[in-house]
Amino acid sequence: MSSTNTENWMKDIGVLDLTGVGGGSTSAAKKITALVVDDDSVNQTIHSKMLENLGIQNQVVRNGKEAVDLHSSGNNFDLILMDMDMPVMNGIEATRKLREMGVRSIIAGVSTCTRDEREQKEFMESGLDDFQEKPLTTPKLVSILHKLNKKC
Amino acid sequence: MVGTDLRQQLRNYIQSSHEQGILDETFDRVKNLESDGNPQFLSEIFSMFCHDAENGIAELARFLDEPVIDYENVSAFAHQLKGSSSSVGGNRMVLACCELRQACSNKTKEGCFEAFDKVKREYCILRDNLNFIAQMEKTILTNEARRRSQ
Repeated sequence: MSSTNTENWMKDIGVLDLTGVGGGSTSAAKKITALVVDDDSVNQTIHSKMLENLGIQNQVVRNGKEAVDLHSSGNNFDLILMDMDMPVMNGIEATRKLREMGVRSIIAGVSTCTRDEREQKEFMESGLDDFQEKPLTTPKLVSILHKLNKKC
Repeated sequence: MVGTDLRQQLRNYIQSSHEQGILDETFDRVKNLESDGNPQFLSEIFSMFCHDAENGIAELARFLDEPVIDYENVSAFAHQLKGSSSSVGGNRMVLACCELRQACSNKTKEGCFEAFDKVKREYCILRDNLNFIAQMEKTILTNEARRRSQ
């Protein structure tokens, strides 16, 4: 995606400040940060690349525990893409834990398929702001990011 | 022109893979993530997928070799394999993994063996497809770089 397209997208969701230094002639973009939480290395790389192409700084961890530990050591992110099925600590438990810790990031659940409605309901109720079925696409990601704008 | 021919050949190959159901639109989206800044991106993704898939298939073989099959574990690995296949657009492999999961739900040993054979076959086909595409891309990019430097 070209930098012009990225700017247009960022304007659309309201995270591009048009009243930057010089009275509006230069624009200062809010740097959005994201955390990808997924045990699958292919998904990690693809999701990270999608975020990067949208101009979003991001980090990747392999399971819910690593996500929780990262926050415990003082890191925070605007957006968390949370897989459901992961070893050590799954997405449901991790989301619940992060909300208990007071994490107010947009947390979007991203899962392979909605195996059963009960499980998806449990995932949503753990504290998600959004849920998207894999495979994640750029339009799905942009729709998640619109929630970021609404939350700000 | 050679470059145009190769690009057309690659497009035709991918189109054929779509028609055979080997690849779906997710593959096209992954391919479009490649940028000038990282021409190795596709190769890296495919290598990663193949490495993980082969490990997954080895684990499945191990579980299915047991006298008493742990259907829950087989299903879990099939689910993982389905997930990563889906991420690269490996449509037929996704379907094969679904069949294996179904056989696990039905707790049928023969069903599981049959479905697992299908998973292995579809993986080989997908792997060969992805390797060919990655190799073509590499050749095209090398030729283009060579032309730019001349």
